[in-house]
Amino acid sequence: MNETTHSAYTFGTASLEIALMLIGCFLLGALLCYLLKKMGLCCKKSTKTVVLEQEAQEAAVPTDPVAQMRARIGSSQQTVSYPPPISTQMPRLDQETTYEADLRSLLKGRTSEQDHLDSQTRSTTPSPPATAFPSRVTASAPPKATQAVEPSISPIVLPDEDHVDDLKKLEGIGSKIEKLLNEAGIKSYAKLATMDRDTLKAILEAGGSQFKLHEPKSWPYQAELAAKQNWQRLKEYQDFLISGRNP
Amino acid sequence: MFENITSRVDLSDASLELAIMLGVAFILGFLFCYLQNKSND
Repeated sequence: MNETTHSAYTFGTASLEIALMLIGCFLLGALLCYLLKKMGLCCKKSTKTVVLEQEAQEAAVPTDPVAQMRARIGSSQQTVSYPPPISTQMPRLDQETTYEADLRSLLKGRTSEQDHLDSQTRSTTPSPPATAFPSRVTASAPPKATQAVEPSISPIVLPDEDHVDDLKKLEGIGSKIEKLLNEAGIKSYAKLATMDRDTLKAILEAGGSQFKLHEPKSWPYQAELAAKQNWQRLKEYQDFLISGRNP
Repeated sequence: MFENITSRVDLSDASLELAIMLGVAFILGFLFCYLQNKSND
């Protein structure tokens, strides 16, 4: 080997090259982990962590089954004048309307009882008594997008326009969809809870073809639960959802 | 003093050591990112 060709290749140069290569490999490893996380193949919450969190939540509630049942009944009776769901059953369509009716009556500053009575007096056709939500009563009428985007809700209960909730806590909503909803003026849970499925679908389709496959049917109900700070029921509901869709 | 140091080192040994060091750095970088993501969760 011709040593004269290495006369400029000193120990310092070699060390610098090696250090640079080490840093490069370090960054490559971090980049690989980041990409795997983005692809969902890495850094997921382990089942053990989820189990520990569930145990912590269970430890927070009373261990006595009777006390648990009382707590559940008490939590569901906070806003109720309808028969509340007592057990941990998953919310179905009739319960969904009950929740919507509760929230809307709160937002309008009215009691659910009044809404219930009003719906009974207004409805000319026989309808289920639990559907006090007006849009549910007039289900045959097509939803009006402009009306749903700007609902006539009392500003006393609605949060400020500047109030921004983390919509990503809802199953099926990621950062891009959250940004899209924010641009559409939906920044809070209470606002999202006033939307209907068709309006949200129209917003998604207007956002681009990449959002067309998303199904926003469950988002208003999830937002209702989040607006009520009913995180436990929200988690139970989300466990039964697959990417925000009803199972 | 340190000139021509590469000429005195067996190239295969140096390559092996360098490969090991790079591999360890790669794993360290991966672990760094992994643990950081874990702590964020």
